[in-house]
Amino acid sequence: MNPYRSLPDHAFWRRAVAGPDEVDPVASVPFTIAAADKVATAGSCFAQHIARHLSKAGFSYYVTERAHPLVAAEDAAEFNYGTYTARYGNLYTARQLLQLFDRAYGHFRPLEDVWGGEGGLIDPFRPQIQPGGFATRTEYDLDRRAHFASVRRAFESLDVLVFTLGLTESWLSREDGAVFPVCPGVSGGDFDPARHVFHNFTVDEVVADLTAFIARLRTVNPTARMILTVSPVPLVATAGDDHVLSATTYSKAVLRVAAETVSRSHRDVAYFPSYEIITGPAARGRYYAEDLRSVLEEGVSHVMRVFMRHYAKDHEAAAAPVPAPPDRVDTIGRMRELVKVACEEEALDS
Amino acid sequence: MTRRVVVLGHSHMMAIAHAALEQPEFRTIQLLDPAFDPVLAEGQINQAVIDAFLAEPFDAVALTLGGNEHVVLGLVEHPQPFDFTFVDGEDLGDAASARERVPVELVRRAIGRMLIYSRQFLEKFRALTDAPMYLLEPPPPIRSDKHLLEYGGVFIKEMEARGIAPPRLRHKLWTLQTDIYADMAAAIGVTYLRAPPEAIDPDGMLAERAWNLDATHANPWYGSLVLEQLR
Repeated sequence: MNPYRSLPDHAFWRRAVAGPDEVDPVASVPFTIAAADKVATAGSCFAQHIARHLSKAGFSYYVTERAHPLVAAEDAAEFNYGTYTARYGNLYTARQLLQLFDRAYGHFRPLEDVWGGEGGLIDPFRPQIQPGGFATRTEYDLDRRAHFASVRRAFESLDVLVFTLGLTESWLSREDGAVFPVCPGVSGGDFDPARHVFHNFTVDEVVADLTAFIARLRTVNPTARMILTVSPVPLVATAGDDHVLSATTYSKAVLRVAAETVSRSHRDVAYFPSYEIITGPAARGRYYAEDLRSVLEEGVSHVMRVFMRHYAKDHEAAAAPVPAPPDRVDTIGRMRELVKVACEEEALDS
Repeated sequence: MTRRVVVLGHSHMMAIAHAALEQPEFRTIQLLDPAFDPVLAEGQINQAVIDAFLAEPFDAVALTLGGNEHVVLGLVEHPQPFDFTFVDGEDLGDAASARERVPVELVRRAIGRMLIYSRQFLEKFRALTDAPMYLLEPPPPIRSDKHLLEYGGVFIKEMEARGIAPPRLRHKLWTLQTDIYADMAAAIGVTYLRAPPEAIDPDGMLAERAWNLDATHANPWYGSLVLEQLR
């Protein structure tokens, strides 16, 4: 007799990883998600895949910042409406998520608040959100005011937040600690070593930031649940002095430990192992594209199958078709018809 | 020598056509005539249009293409009232913030999508002649809710149900549309002819004297001013 004899299959590598055709690394989940639960997403670029698949999988993907119905669907996508729950762009670090909350509620106003750009103004905290930038300062201010309202609405009324931790490396303002999603000068602004500094977050810092965020979130939404994932996408580049592969391993290890620490110490916070599904030996590297960085659709589908298996509260309901949103072009289409009729009448009135 | 001008176009051409009735130097071709349907097919102009256009000699050409795209977006109040910002310092009041803000670039694209046909037509038409060619600016919107409700025609039911969009928004939509038209004309090598200044009121809306007895067009007086510009 020994303690291993009574363990379930998932505790054994041969049975749980080497054996199955498709590995499912989830042992248990602390909660499930009903089809009607509002599921919000945020995080690094891998979170976009999750967001895209949630509604297809029958979950109620929660979007609080939609494009106006006059906007064509392809334009809305290009302007990042619906990429995430609100139009905040990629949030690579836990500190960004925390600062997003504080900025949305007016508790933090970064000193570096806007960047001039070629032909438009750039939001330093979502520099790729608007192709070409914002046309005027007024447009910029009003859009961000509406954006923060959408962020608050999301935080206050979501049921589940899926947050994908992406990076530990980041660039901060020396003046007030504001975290930029990308280094100033890359997608707008100008890099200034006197104002901008590189920082590689530690496990303790990530844990502290996630803990602080969860505390803040639950002040406005006490029953909010959270699922943490770690992006399997490697660093595109490191600003540290290590090799980019070592830097990636360090970064993902920090995020993985932080996610584990926080999920084990908070109620209704889960860790979901999408990282393990994509990067684990069972995948044999086949979920990565030729660049050994981009995750292929096949891998994302595997992740979502496992996600559905464990989190869909009742699969029948979750698999039911999601009601289509109101026809986006109905009003505009109706007016186009009326204008056509009016113009034909005018032309015939000769 | 009198310049002979042929004017082609859609509904906004009618004000000009009425004004040109007693002026033989102007010839008009109504593109909404069923004989020309479809005016443009698979990227090519209907030969019947080309034949009508080339049937008599001319010295210059003017076109009115579409022109009511701003009406589609903003004559009747949208169920999700919206607004957009052109210039800094505009509309920062509480009332304005109650309307959904749409980035101006997205409104520009929405209008631009409705002008694809006009652009294709103009590109093809420009190649038909070396004569001076003008793209006529559509008339600005009518401010008066009373007039719009009285002569609203097919729009009345919608206007009564959802209200009329604010004049300021309607004027901005028209301005944005005219900017797109002007850029399009410049890119194709056509002169963009602005609406006659005498027909525009101090707020940039269509002057009352130019109102047609409908919601979206100008009258023959307006047309006569355009003819003066073309003469």
